Amino acid sequence: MKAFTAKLVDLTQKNTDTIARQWAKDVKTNAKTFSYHEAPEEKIIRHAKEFYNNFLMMFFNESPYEQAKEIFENYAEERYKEGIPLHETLYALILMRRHMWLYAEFQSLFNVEVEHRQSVESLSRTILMFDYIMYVVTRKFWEMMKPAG
Amino acid sequence: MQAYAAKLIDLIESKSEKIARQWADDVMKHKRTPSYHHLPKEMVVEQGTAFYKLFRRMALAANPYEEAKSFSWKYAEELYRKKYPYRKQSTR
Repeated sequence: MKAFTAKLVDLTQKNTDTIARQWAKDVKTNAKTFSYHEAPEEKIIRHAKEFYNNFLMMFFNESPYEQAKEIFENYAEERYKEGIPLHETLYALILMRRHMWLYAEFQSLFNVEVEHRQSVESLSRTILMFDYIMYVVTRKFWEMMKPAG
Repeated sequence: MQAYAAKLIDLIESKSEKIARQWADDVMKHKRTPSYHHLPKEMVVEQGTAFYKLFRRMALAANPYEEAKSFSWKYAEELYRKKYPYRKQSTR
């Protein structure tokens, strides 16, 4: 698992700018992320790059959930203050995951038959990391949406 | 890929209740889902089974997003009416 995951992490790390730009194009036209359509492109690209860098740090962390909590509560707070609704924030995260995979697929990272088992394991770990992030982001939104007092 | 997907769908459908029971055991004691801890187990299992059975419908649907939307809307509405915080519905 480690070797293949390292490849995925390495590929994403080296191409964060390209992946973030492809994500930004998607999120600015996707019907499910309407609140991003008028956002300044360079600003959301910067957010996506920060996201990918933080996400990659989680990958080999022994306590990824604890790290998700530390980093992504802040991410949730920023989106909340920008007025992005929860369902769009979550869909933008789903698109971040998709663009990471699409790029890896485009670079034929998953095409070597012998590595299929390893690639499935690395995808499972990616899903787990995103599950933690979604939970932390949703919980933070929930806290901020609660009436004061 | 299609053959593997079909196998997975068959497995999930044929074992939906067993998978739902394992999920119920987890969610009814997991520290991030406290609102589930005191619910009647059969009710939780029923929710899980209905969810797992959605897989074939979604896989065969011409528009899986629309299919998911109609199911999820009812699922979310039912849970909301029972007053579960939504942050506890997607944890693992």
